[in-house]
Amino acid sequence: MAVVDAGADLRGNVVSRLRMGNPAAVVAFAVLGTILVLGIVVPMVAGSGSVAQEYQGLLPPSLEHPFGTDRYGRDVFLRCMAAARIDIALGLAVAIAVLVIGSLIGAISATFGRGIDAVVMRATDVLLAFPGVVLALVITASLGKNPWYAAIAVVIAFVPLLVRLTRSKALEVRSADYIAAARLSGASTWQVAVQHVLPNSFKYPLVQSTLVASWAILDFAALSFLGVGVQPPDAEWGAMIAEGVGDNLLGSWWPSFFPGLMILLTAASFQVIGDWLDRRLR
Amino acid sequence: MELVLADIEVVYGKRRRNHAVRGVTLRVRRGETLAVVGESGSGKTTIAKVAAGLQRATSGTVTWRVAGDDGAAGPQRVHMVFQHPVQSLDPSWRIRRSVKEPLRHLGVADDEADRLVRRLITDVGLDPEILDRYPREVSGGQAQRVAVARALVADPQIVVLDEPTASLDQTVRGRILALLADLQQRTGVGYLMITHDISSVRRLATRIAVMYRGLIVENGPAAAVLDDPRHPYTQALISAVPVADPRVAWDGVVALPRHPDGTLAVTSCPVPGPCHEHGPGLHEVGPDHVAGCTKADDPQKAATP
Repeated sequence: MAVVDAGADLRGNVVSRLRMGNPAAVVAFAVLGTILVLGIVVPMVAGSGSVAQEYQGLLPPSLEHPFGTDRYGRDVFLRCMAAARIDIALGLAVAIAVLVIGSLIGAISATFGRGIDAVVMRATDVLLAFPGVVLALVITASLGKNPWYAAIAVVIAFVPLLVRLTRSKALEVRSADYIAAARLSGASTWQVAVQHVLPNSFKYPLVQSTLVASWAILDFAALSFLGVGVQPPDAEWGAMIAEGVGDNLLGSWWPSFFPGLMILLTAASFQVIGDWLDRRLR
Repeated sequence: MELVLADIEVVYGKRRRNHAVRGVTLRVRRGETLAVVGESGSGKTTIAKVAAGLQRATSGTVTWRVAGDDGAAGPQRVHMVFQHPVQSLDPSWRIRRSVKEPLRHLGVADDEADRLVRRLITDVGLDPEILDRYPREVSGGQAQRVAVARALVADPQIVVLDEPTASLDQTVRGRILALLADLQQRTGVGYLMITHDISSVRRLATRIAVMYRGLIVENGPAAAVLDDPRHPYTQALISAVPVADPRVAWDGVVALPRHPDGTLAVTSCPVPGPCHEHGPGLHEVGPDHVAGCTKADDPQKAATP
């Protein structure tokens, strides 16, 4: 007798699964995907347009310049797209780095306990005592003005959060019977931490890391806005806002508005995707 | 090969001390089943953890003694079957990986390990097809069979069974007990079974140790203890007839009077009499059968205060 799998069509592909689950997530993926694709394609096509000062300054948005031009005569749309590549890549890279480093430290801290745990917890206490941006600002300022240092600073600012999260979940996992069984089977504490505790306490940090991606973009933009991240004339959303605020006072709103909109859309998309991931994994 | 627990004491907590186990001596031999029975809080689960090496005793020793012919036995000496079968398997691992884990840590070659895993999973009455599933995709009874397979796959000397059937329903319970008995006959493994279920004791035990408030109050061959219980607590626990003396309350440890440092102010026995404050210690009441009650020598006397 043939077995009929009635749900096969519904489970068919990623798109239909997405659509069934959460329309907001579809929009978020679409927005993020569009910005990312444009961010990759546009600078390739336009060449050095993002830095070149080839137009008249402060032209309002038009068909020729959809986002207008800034005071140096650069096309704001081109600069926004050139910045998209940097900002999204940075958000993802920071999220992945924070996820790997944070959850590994958290799992080890919970599994070994005692001295290691105490040291790790006091260290996170110290780091969490500062607001993320302030901490990142201090670190970047002391290391030097460089986008790489800014990225590292953002990672350091967010790692304690993931350490705490993974640790609390890992403490719960650690007392499970399968951990006792693994010990009896001859697993070392390291093997228990990496093979059992980490995979089973990974879910929450994974969801959290998408939120970290959005916060990282905000913080990185803030650092660039304050002048310690990406340096002019390179395009970055936060730096572009910083350059455009002066023009804003004189009525030219577009040089700072569009990069701000980009930040908003990207960060919001990461938030929605995190929410979707949370529901998927639950 | 014999697992010997000598004078085990376990104290939990620092300021408010909870004396969970107060000087317990037990032996588990290969091929036999020692059932430790008692109510919640009697310290029997602590004994299981100490015997398995999952917890350090505050004082006392856990040693192995070689005794005569043991047959072939692997280097892995103790494993354990837990009360909640599904929780004892890593939810992110396929069952194959969980069952193979002890072999992997012993450095058994992969194809040899695969062969052993398949044999054990057939031995516990499961289809090898189950090996590719995750723990959430199997029933409680199947999961407990998997747990038994994992415990036995590396041919341990002793397997600690911590209430192995407590979370299973009645029919599955019987089958798991039959399986455990069958595997013991085939492999010669020794069981240390922790339980409060007298019916599973009847099915499986060769020896019985009765625990009350962290002490062994009676210890002897299963038949002797079940048919002729000497300690009043054992009688209250085992017999189907009403408790010998209704004035005697066999309370757990929770509401007992304590010294200022948190240790118990009473030692053992709620039965009124000369040994109320301090138990007399275990003494011989039959062949290989000891009980901790002054009245235990005379069954008639034990039944009355």
